[in-house]
Amino acid sequence: MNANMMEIKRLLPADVRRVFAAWSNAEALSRWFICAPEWTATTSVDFRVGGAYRIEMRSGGRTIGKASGQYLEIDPPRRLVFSWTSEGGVGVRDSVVTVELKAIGAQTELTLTHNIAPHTPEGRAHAAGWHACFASLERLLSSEP
Amino acid sequence: MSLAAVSKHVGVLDDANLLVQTREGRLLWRRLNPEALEPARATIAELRVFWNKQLDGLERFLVETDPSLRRKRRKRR
Repeated sequence: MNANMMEIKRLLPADVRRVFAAWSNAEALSRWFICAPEWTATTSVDFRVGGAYRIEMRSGGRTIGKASGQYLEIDPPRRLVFSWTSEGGVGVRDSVVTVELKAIGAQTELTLTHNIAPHTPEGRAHAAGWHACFASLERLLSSEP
Repeated sequence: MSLAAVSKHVGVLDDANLLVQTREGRLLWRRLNPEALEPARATIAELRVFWNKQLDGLERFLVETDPSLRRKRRKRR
């Protein structure tokens, strides 16, 4: 069990190639990477391992959030791993997002995991909270006179 | 479990402010402080809301740009 990780699964109405292209192409990304239909996003994407991306989300001319990072693994059309630092909205530093795609007939099952970096205060607390020794520690403390 | 291993694990919890210490003479008591987990739990919950909204956007985009749906729409006209 690893609870400094968030996981979401979605069945999407497109084949894996179209879903992967939606992540890898800057123009496509700017069209969907928004929290609400009235938002807009500007993106820059250097789609190669080690390459950087930057996304700025806006609503009514106001910047709502910024996210940036680097591509860590690219395995089209199945797997994409990138680092993630965001400000505004949910601010997290140096976390890691993994997107995995699996064909289910003509559809795609997308699994997104977001790991909070273990060395940040949020991540440290979380990783420690689920530390494997938790049960042992509890036993140890309760067995003490 | 060796004493050294226990000490290492306790150190991890201590670093994350998950333990409250009280001293009684030469005894050092450590109690769990589960509230220290709250910021991390809150961040994870916010991320879940955020990504669900983003994936709603991805789903809309995939439907809008579906080439087979576009062909069907044209045929209907």
